[in-house]
Amino acid sequence: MQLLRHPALHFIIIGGALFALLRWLNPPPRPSLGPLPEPRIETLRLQWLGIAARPPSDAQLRALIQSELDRDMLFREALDYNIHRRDPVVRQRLLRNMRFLQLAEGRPDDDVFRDALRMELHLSDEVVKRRMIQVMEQLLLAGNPPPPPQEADIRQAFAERRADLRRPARYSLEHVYLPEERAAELKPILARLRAEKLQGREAQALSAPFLPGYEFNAQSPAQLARSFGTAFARNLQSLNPSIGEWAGPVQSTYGHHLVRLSAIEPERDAALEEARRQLLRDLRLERRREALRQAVAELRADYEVVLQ
Amino acid sequence: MREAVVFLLAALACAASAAAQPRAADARAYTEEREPCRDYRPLNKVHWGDLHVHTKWSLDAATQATRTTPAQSYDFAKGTSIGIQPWVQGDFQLEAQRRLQLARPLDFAAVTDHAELLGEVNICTNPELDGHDSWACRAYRWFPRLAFFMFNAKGTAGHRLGFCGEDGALCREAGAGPWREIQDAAEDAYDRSAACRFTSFVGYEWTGTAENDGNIHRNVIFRNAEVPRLPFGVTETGISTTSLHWTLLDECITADGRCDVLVIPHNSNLSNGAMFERAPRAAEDTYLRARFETLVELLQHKGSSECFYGAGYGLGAGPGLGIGEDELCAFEQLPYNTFAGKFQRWSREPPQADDGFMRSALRKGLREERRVGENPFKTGFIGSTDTHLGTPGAVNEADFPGHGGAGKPANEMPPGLPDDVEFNPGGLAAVWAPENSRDALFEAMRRRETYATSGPRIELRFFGGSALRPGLCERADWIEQAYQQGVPMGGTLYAPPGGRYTEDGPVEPEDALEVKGIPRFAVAARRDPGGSLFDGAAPEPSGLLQRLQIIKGWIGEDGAAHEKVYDIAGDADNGAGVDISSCAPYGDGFDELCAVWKDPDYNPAESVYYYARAVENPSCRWSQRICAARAVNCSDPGAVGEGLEGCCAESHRPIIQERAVSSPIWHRGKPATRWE
Repeated sequence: MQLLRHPALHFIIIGGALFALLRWLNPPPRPSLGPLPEPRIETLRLQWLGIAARPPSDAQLRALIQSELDRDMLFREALDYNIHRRDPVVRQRLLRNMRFLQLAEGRPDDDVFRDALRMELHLSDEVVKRRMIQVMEQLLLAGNPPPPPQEADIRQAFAERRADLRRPARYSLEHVYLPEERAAELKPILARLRAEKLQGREAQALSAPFLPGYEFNAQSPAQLARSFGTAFARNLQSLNPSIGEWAGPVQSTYGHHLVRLSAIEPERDAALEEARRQLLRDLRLERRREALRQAVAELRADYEVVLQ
Repeated sequence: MREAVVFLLAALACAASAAAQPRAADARAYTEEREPCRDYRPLNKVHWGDLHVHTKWSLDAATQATRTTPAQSYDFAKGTSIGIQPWVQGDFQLEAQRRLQLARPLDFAAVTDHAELLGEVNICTNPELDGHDSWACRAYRWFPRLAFFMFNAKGTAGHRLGFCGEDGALCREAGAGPWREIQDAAEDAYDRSAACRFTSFVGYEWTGTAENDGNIHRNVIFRNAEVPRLPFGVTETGISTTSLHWTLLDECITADGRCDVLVIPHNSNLSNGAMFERAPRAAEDTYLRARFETLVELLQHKGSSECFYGAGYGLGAGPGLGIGEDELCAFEQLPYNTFAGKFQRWSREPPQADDGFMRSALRKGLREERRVGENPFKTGFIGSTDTHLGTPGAVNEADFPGHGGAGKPANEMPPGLPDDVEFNPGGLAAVWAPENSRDALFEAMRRRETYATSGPRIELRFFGGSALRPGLCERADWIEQAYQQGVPMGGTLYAPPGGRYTEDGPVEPEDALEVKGIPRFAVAARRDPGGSLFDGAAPEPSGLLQRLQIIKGWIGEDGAAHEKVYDIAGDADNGAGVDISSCAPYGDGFDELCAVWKDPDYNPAESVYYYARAVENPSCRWSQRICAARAVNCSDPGAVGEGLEGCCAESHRPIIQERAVSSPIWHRGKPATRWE
């Protein structure tokens, strides 16, 4: 009881209340970001010119400055988290810088590293900066994990992407190849293949040597194009031969081919289960990107951003 | 001490993989779970791939504004169009100002980001790294909320409370970060169904530098999804020598073969000789090198490592000694022998014949074989891009956006060349395997049944053996015959005893075919059909073939090195060429070439390497295609446009001959000395 009446306590309570009131009336200023010094803006302009071959428009320049300020912000946050003290890549980089400056001779790494930090080498090294920003982005993602895609999302994406998920037709075939200089033999050889119903090795014996071989199993048009050239796949499709019969000739980049199709699986829509993995991956990637963008935007809200 | 710790870690990293047992799906043995491929060719088919790809996780790619993720890289390899820099902030996200698409998809690819920059994101969550037990980290693990305030000096970002989740799980997840993402991307891209559309490999680039500043970078390619918990980067492990790196990887290999690995050196042309050093190595090193380094990346963005050309270099060295005289070796030869030489003119040295070109390394290997009975440099060849845009297989000379950020914006020509003039789009890896699965491709790479191309998809077969018949090329079933009667590229022949001497006398080499009489070599090549499978992609050129060659290198009985290039089919003087002002080719060439060749100077006592090269007619280099399109006139230096100075540089070679270079076939001669 005695204690409650003690003036010192009153002093502390009233002082604390006053302090809180003042804080409330005058909140500490938000840390400011930017404006970028003119030389750095000039560097951005030059980099853009180097890549895009024309100067950036005003809107593009603003966007460049904004992303540069975001980098500054992430770097600052990373410094607050002391990532430079804990990251092995930063440490190795600074040790290397110290060795280059010949300040490391015969001294233990820990001492050299401490000196590097004391000299603030980590503040001026672009590689360190990049690395710390990278780490910061990872941490932001860990702190703002994107929601995992649900079954409904997967089904929706599946429906929307029907066209690009389609599975190509597949052809199983054997062929007899004749280069241009043997084109005259095409007719008699085709007649013989048909009359004697030749297949496999017997048919192959009539062929000129063809490096990729003679029998092809379940090939998409793209795969056929890689063995025969793009024209062959087109020509085969337009010839539309019936299964089991020798047909042709089909023209390729290399010459003429007599073809016997043993099976065609027509082009079809993908089944959901075939596509699930890809859909899931793409949805996750998209959400990660969005989560990072949001996390950076939220972080930015803590700052007073001055673009120019 | 530190190394011992790292070894232990490596062992632990792989211990998990040892627990699971392999399962054979059918007659084909797999070290992973997958369906056997429907398209299975006992005589092998060629698979096209790129085993050297950097994405945004490589700092030197990120520095050039590359934002391609590993997943996007694999999509690109499969034929999807992706956006590349420059990037502009749109309303909702960054938007790419250029797009790139392969004209034809690849069969396989590996994302190989620099291991050095994939280190743990959060050291506090990794007990194996220094600093894990610091007071801050302990607080962080035990009282994540408290640590949050301790670490966060500002303390204003209240919305990030609970940052790591109650038990820090979220931060641990973030810690595995890039390496996990790389593995996931590979897993998602890999087709484990019977369709076998695409194969991915998990990998990384080990970025070491030799004491002489030479490049000793190597790509590490894992056989399947069983990989160490972290890649063995130079900075992370503190291990900067190749042999200790092998030892780390060796720890990862378990007896059941699930965790298995290949190490593929690249840019030995920039190694100042260090890639294949001459100093005697420990037997352990020779064993590990032979196991891991069955391939080198011969052709890529930063030049060709095949062989050295120096005008007049070989003169006076004696008749038959052609080292430095093969003019085709000038192809994509860099003007310096270390990467430092590019940036520091004062340290620039022009390349020399023994700077790390593969012919010189192969010769060194033969010498070692004569000396100690084993050849440590028995490496086959692949090509790859070394893309820093995350665009595997983008090798089209007509559509080269440069490897960095430079390049042409949409619908507009650039002010200059999109890359340094001495660089090139890179090459491809061709692998002869029966099906497109990880195990089948990996086995083929281990036995070196692979070749390099400078970009075009030239199909190349190469067999050797004394039983090969001269009329082979006329037979429709010649490939089958050749497999029965000879060895394919990457294989070894020997003349008895041909092995090495032991205390019990000579031992015949395993995995080698005995030669009875003079060996013959069958070579066949087929030109790239070219074209494009997609409307949006620039079609790839289809050059006609000019000739087939066999390159023979050997150590004579006098101990001197020899090298000889034979034209065995086609015609070097076929009159074909290219108009450099329009880049239109003229003259005739060949769709296909095939020949059986017998070594006229065969000596069973000699150790020899033979490899085959298929060469296209001349065509315009990527740089000349731009110079020509911009109508650069070098006779009027004032009128040469900005950034196009490279067109008129003395070192600029406007014309190239694209090529395919096979892995060698070795011939072990009778050992000259007894095994000591």
